[in-house]
Amino acid sequence: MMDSWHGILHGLMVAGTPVNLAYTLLGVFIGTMISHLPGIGPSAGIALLIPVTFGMNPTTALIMLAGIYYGCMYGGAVTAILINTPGDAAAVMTTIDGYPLARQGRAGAALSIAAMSSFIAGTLGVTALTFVAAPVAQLALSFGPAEYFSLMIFALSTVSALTGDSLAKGLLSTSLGLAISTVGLDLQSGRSRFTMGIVDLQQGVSFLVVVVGVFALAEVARMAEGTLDGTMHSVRVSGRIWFTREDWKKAFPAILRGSAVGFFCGSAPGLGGTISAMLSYVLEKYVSKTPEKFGKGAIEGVAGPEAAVNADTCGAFVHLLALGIPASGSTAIIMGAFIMYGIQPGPLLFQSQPDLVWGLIASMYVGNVMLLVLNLPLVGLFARVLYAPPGVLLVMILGIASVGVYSFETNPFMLYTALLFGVVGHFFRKLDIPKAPLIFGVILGSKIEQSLRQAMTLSSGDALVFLKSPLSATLLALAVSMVALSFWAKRKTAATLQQAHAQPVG
Amino acid sequence: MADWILSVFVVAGAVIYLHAALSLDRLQVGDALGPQVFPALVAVCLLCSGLLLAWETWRKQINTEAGAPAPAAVLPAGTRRKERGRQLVLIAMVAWTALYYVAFEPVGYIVSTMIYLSALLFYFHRVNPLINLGYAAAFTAVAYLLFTEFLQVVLPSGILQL
Repeated sequence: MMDSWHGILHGLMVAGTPVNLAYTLLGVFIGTMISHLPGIGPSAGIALLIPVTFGMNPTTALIMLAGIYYGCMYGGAVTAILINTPGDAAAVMTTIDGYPLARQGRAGAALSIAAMSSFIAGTLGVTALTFVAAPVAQLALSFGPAEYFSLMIFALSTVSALTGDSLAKGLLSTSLGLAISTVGLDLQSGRSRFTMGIVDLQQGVSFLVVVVGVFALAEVARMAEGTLDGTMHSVRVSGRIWFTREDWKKAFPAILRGSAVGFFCGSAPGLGGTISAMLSYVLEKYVSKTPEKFGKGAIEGVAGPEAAVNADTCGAFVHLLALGIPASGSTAIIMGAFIMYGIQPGPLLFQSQPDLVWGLIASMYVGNVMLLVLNLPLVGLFARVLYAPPGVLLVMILGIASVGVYSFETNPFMLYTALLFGVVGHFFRKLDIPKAPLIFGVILGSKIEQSLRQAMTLSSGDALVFLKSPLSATLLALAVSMVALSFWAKRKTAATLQQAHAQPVG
Repeated sequence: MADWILSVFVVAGAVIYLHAALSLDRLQVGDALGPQVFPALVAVCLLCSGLLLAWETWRKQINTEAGAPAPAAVLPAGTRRKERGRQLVLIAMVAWTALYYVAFEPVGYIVSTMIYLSALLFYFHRVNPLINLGYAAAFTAVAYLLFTEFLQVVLPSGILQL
């Protein structure tokens, strides 16, 4: 506890330097802008901007990337409320009541309650992160290769089983990610694997080209289709941009419940913001005295899921910082950025890089305040980004993605690979294959292989080593149960839940 | 139908990958597993996912046949034409982007990017061509300055190199 107090006070000094404050502001500003661009989610936004952070101090760069992430989650509600399209997948539940509220002329109230929910949940979430992360890291220091292997298998099985609406496709995406991670020189034997004689593949497939291709370039294809269809309809913000006392009385308990649900879901690997928002929405409808209003413009239906999504973001950082395991697609990309800066997230990070860890956590307190200040008075102004011509946006995204990927190694081979992954990402979307498990596989692949080989070497080739440790055996049992449950249970995705709850609004 | 084809591709890909993994050298000095075991395990996972997908697709088909009649498989002619048009645009975009990447170094960043972005803008943002040229020029200039001056990245000069 005292360590956490010392840590966060030290972190506030790091985050409070003019440069870090400026980059926190820049990160949350960019995140808010990205969340207002339909189709571009936090994963694509972070992927596009990683190259711009090369050469920066890693602490500053990660503060900015984290700012983009939670800024995106904060602002994801705006497109959900105004154009019935979530700014990021996690905001899908906000459309159910947010859009009807906007259609009733209460867009301002819905937007301001979403901003307030995000602020309160974000602040509660960072506070929990502050006091939970260091003890979890301390605990993780006792993990050996067998425990780490099982923990990563658990994370992969959760993300495979719970993302998308087909277990087979989740598993396919994860396996493909793991297969990509095996390309290049084998770290232990020094042998080339699956390089097909291409020298540029000796170093492996760069994580950056995978994320830029699968997220950013594939999203451009989606935007291009939307532009050709001309199907985007938006509700303009008009009238009072504030909620009523009555709204607040209904929303506040929902915010507290949503924050708790979100933080716990975020702390579990693979659950992600969408599931937090779904659980929070179902909970709010269950405890409400007027459940019939849900789907027609219930303010709690906006407050609960928005709080859950933002608290989930903080919960995800517990995993990332303390265990070195991502909890969602976006945190997997941030983890990739850590690795690209030569920093290995995990329990040792709290000892080896206290400035970075505590500076990053402290910057989230500051960033939350900045987001509230930016969003409440300027919500109408930001909403204008929605009306930017999509044709121009998609072309600019292609331009940024291309120069960003080239700048990484100044090698045109990276561009060709990114384009290939863009095509792969497009087919993933067309075939409903989730993308997050692919990124998990790419990021965790080499760590899983190393842990597997180390554990097997230490046990002289005895595969039972994974069952002899109680923690490792429990994690493996949980992983198997997760897959088995997903196999037998009837899935209810966010989309089906949305369809079930949404009412036609006249 | 798409899922059936996908499952066949996945199973075929997994078998090829498994064969490639098992063909790797078995040198494992001080290493209980060697470089081939992990890829082989991944190949098995891929194979399982392909078979599971085939099973899921089969189940879905059975349920659809047992339940309500399947929606008409044939799309109206207008929708089909529109869908084909969209696919053609996307294929052209990929080809145009590939051409841009091939020209990136020999032609140079500034010239290739200006041409690439202008052409896309002319198609996707149908306003006064001069406005689109302005957008393309502004983006190219800002990105060039950001990467070369601020991030110290050397972008290819290509044909502008004197």
